[in-house]
Amino acid sequence: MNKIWKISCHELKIHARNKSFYILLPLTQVLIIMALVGSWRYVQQSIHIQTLWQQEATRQWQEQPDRHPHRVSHFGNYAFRAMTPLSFFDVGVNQFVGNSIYLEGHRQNSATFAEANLAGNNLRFSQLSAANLLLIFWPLLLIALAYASITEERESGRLRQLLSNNLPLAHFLTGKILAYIIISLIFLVPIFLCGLLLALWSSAPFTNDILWRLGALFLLYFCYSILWLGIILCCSLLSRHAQSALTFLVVFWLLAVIVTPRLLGSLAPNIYPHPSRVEFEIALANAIARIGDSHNPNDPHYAEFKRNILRQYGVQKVEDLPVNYAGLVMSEGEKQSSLVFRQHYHQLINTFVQQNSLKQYFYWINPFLIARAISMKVTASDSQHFYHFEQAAEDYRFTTTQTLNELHTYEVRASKDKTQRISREHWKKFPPFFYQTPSLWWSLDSTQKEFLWLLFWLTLPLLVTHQLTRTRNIYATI
Amino acid sequence: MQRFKYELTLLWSGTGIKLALAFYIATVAIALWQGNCRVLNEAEVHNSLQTNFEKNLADWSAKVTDGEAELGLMGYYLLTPTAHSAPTWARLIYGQRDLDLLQQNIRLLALEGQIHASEINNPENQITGFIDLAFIFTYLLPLIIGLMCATLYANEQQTNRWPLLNALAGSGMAVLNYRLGLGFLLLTCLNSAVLAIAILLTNIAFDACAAFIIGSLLLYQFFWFSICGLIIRLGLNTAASTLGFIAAWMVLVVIVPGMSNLYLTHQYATDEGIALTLKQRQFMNDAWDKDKKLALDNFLQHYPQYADTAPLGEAFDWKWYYAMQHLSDLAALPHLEQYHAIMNKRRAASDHLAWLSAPLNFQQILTQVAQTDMTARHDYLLQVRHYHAQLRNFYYARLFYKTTTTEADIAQYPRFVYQPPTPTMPWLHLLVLMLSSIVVLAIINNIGSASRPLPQRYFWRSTRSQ
Repeated sequence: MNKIWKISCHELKIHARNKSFYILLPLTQVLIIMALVGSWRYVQQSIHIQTLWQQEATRQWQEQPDRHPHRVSHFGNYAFRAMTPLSFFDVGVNQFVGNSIYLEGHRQNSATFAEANLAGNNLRFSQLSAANLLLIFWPLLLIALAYASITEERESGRLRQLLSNNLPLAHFLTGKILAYIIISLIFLVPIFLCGLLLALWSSAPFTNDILWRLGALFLLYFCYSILWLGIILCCSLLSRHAQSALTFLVVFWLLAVIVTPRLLGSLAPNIYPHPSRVEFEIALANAIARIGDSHNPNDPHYAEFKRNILRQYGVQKVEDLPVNYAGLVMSEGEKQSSLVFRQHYHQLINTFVQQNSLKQYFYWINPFLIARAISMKVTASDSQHFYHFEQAAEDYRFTTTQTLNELHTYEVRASKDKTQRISREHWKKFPPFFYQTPSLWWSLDSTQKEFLWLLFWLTLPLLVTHQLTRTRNIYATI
Repeated sequence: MQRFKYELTLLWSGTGIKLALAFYIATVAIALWQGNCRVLNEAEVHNSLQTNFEKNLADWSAKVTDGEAELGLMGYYLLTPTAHSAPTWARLIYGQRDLDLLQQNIRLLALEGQIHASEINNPENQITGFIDLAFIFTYLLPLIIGLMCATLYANEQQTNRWPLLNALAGSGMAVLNYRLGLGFLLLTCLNSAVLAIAILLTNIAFDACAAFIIGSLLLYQFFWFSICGLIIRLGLNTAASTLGFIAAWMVLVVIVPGMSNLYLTHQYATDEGIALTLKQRQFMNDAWDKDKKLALDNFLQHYPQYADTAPLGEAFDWKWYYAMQHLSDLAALPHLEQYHAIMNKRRAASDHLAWLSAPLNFQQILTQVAQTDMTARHDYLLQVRHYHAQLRNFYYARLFYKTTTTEADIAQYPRFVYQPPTPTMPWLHLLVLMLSSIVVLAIINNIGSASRPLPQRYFWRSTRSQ
């Protein structure tokens, strides 16, 4: 243990002698903290604005005068999406998904006014969030620091002396990696402390969930650092020259971090094609039309429906019903169309999940993809969370519309259907739209593969060095 | 000529360069294939929408001319396709088309409720973006250049050939410049071949746009070769050269665009879009409660040519309904103008901030020439608005004067035809790109002079303990 510690201290001293070390590391930390603060201000602003608009939409809903309930369902409501509190750390897909959904009867609308549609093309690669910098830039820094750690020992002859002095290679490597783990901790801890402070200072309530998420993020990025250190030190161990280790590491970094994600993202729609907006809407309209047309008096589905209702109430004619038949038809129409929509929507989401699962085939060769997936899930800023919001908005829309249809059925007399208005007090009884970010356990629900591969990557260097130690295949010669 | 052959052999001798160029060509092939697939897919969707529309129009025409359905009902249900057809360069420079709603179905109702819809896209794919030729030229080409040329001096120094080269007539620096020039020539030939093949395979005309793009590509290459020159002039060792070049690439490609984007998002944050949709909905809904005759008079002030229309009765009248739809659009107009003003300011600021980083500048040039940038998108949306006005004029003429609609009337139904804007060459951006190279050359000149030649260190010790 003493020896391991001595080796780490030696490694740290070498870096401490290097003047640029004292500039580079703090500069990067400052950059990341600036990105954190910038994103945090933006997220706070967004949460504030979206909350205000949600309150405004609720106010407009509740201040409606006496109206016919069907008219109210056409008036509709809005669901505004506030970014999840930890989005300041990892912006995820927030810039690319819409911020507001119009909830009206008969139709399901898309989320509109995504930030990316205002920004145009600058965004790719350069969503400067702390997570992005940590995932992309930090490994490069680690490569710059550690690429020559073992080749240097070998080229200067120290490795041969150390090994001949009965130092097990495993201890030597542990000492080396310990030094860099300390450097990683010095780098990461201030950033996460800053993140914690910003989360505490945020307008969103600081719940246990956020604390757990921050802890999980810290653990993730720490493991990510160790993972890269393992790769770097393995390369350093296995290369003859420092330069070849550096070239290999830089090329690996480029391919893993820059090229592969873009390639996969671009190829995914080719392999699992999804419909465009107009195709989706046309398919939906056709599917709904196939079920039945509520406006058509000869429609078989609604004729059947009418017969069932008449039988249920024990009357012979629609005019004898104690309730409003028009309301019942609206309810039925809404139920059918929403059912069809859900089927199509879930099919679409499944296609997207399949597209995303393409990355999983590359986890064995690309640690960046694993870390980014987990990071987005932990900060609740990936597409699954957006679909969760969309689903919640659709559920709210459906419940509201069906409640209005019930009011139409039971409160509005069929004889006065066109002109009757019901009391405005009804609108106040509707609960406002409220969206709760799911818990960490929901967010991490489908990440088993990611965790397994993360574990694999963490243990890979151990396996490699164990193998090397056994076969004694180390180039200890100059 | 002899020297040219030998230098070329030297350049081509490493496995690294061969692998890198093979990778480059492979990604170019993938990019061309992807661009082609996307554009063909878009055209296919558009064609199917057109056929669908013509069929629907024929159906509605039959119903309306028979008197089975009212014209107003047709305006409510009939969806007309508008499409942002891909410009010719879109196969190579896809720009932001993967974010935009490229085909939209418009009906006679208020436009503000329709035009802000979004495309169905997997946002996780949008984070990384689309592989097109612009990506390869902007992001990957500098890396190839760095691989070829960043360590020219350091290699010579490391293998102790530098003192020999420097002692030859025509100093060592001239040799390195020759090699930089050779690399430039090689990549120019490669990229020109790539562009030529791309242009041949697609139906792009070899006109001013193509010349402009090739010119800006050459300037961009020159910029990165001058960055290599700067690194060489600093006289660093191999590792530092490589890392220095990668750091320069990261700063120019990731950090500067990221910071400028952060600034822009902050400075030009707006919720006018939400405000205008809420305003439009509120107005349209309130209209049902207000005095209909008064409201119609309000509308007729904007359209006095229909002032002698028949007065409204008690029953629901389509002309009143569509008049209210238009008035709700007009009610949202102040917010819309504010929204457009902020977006324009943001676009201008983004243009100017792009000058800070040559890759961003170059990408801006490419997307502007290819008409796949924000300006082209804005232009298309204006055309959609214009088309909606045409549609309204078609219907108003027949709704306000209750004539029976004939086949001849339906034959006059306007269709959307996308007019690509006249290409504007971003000369200012090109100038700034040239300036960036000049700035780098000036820095090189400042560092290097006769009194401070390249260092002649002898590298027999480890590189790190220096």
